[in-house]
Amino acid sequence: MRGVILIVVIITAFMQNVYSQDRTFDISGYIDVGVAWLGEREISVGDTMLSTTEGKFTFLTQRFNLLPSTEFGRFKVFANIEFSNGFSTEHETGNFQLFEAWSQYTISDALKMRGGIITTPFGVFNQIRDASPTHLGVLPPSVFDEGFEEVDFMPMYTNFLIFGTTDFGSIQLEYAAFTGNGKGVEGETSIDLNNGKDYGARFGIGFSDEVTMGVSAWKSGLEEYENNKKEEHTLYGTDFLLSIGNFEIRSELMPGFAVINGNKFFKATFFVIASHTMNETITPYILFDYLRDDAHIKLSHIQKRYSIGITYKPIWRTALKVQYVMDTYARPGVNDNSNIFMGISILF
Amino acid sequence: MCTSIRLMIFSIFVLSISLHAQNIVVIVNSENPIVNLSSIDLKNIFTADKAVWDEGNSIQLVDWKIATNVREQFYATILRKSPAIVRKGWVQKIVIGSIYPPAVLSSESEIIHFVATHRWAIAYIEKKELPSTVKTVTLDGRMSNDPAYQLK
Repeated sequence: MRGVILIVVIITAFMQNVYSQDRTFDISGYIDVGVAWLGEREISVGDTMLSTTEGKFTFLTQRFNLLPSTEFGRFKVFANIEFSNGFSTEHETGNFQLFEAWSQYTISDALKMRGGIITTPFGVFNQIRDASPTHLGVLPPSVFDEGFEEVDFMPMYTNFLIFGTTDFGSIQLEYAAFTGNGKGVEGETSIDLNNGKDYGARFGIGFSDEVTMGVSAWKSGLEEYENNKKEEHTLYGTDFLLSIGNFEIRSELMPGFAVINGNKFFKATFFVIASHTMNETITPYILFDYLRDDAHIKLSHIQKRYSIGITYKPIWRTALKVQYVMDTYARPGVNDNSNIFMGISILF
Repeated sequence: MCTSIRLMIFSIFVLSISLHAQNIVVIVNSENPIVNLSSIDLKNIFTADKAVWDEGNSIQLVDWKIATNVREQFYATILRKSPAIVRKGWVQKIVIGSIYPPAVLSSESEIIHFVATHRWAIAYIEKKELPSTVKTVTLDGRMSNDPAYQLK
């Protein structure tokens, strides 16, 4: 289904370009390459066991993302297509993902409407969680950890979005309201069962370009757990940005829960990153991540991650990154581990 | 003693700014119907918080690649942020499809040519005679020869 949508988006984009000189067409994108030294660590084996692995050098996920877009009048079409780890359909290797594919109608900056496959504006970073050029570190904040991708925990995608920003003097207001299929989609057939619509919103307020605070809420459709008991659930998140000169602090809190095998588990993530940019090119930073996952055998139930790193941007589209990461765990017998990540992100 | 030194340093700073300050104009394509921008809108445009013109078309940003006096004065007066912080915001907006990648160019002639050939582009340059395909916009209702014009 996503393949069909992708083809339609690309064909539409090219058609618009071919048939009208007045229409804008653009392809940008980014490439992400990284390596890591991972220290000795315990890994989860099955549901209850842990095993220790030796330290090792490894390549990280190699990504290539294309961002085709076209615009005609107030309409805009955009997609984010990712190929990773040497994607090949013939050899069945690598991965292909369609992160976004949407059409937008713009009335003004204060009112825009978007429909399609849309990353949900839940918190400041949710929309950009997969875009490596937007992160100072090689590893993005743990809010986006792949182990947290269950839709029970965080709304990944939505299908219809109304959003905008407006100024009142030095105060800026941001809003976004969205609705989507939620869990009411039959997995294999993609048929909308129409019984799990979800919806949510984010409201943000900024003061003098220096402080922005946001709150997000998301209500998902019927959820089955504990012997087929059904209920709706609501999640909340908060985000914060302080930007004074070249100094920035960003943080985001996302509490929630996941339903696994009929049981409900508490989950939460929080991060705070402080950075200072020097000479327009060098940005040292410190990052603290907190993860709680009551269903995770290794975390059981808390991981704290301390990072220190530096990002060098010789030109604004290219970032060279080094990040030292130390993970600590609340579970007895699980040792701390240290890792070093290096990467390069190029926006084109 | 300390106060005197501070006053002297401040005077030198003000003098150096005034010596380097140039009359900057904001330019758009002559087919763009916009004739005036508020300084808040101009700031929001270059920080990518304002992404579309009133007609609904995406704004195409044009900026200086190198740290010229024009760029430093524009960032200090209008944006009040460093280029590094502003461009980090651009990257975030590009990857979520909010803006097109801004054109970052090295020379005035390149910038004028880009604006002349892109209907929805906007840039800033030192005041000079312009081709008919490019026009200046007033800032907060003031022309560049107005004593209260902000980009003097």
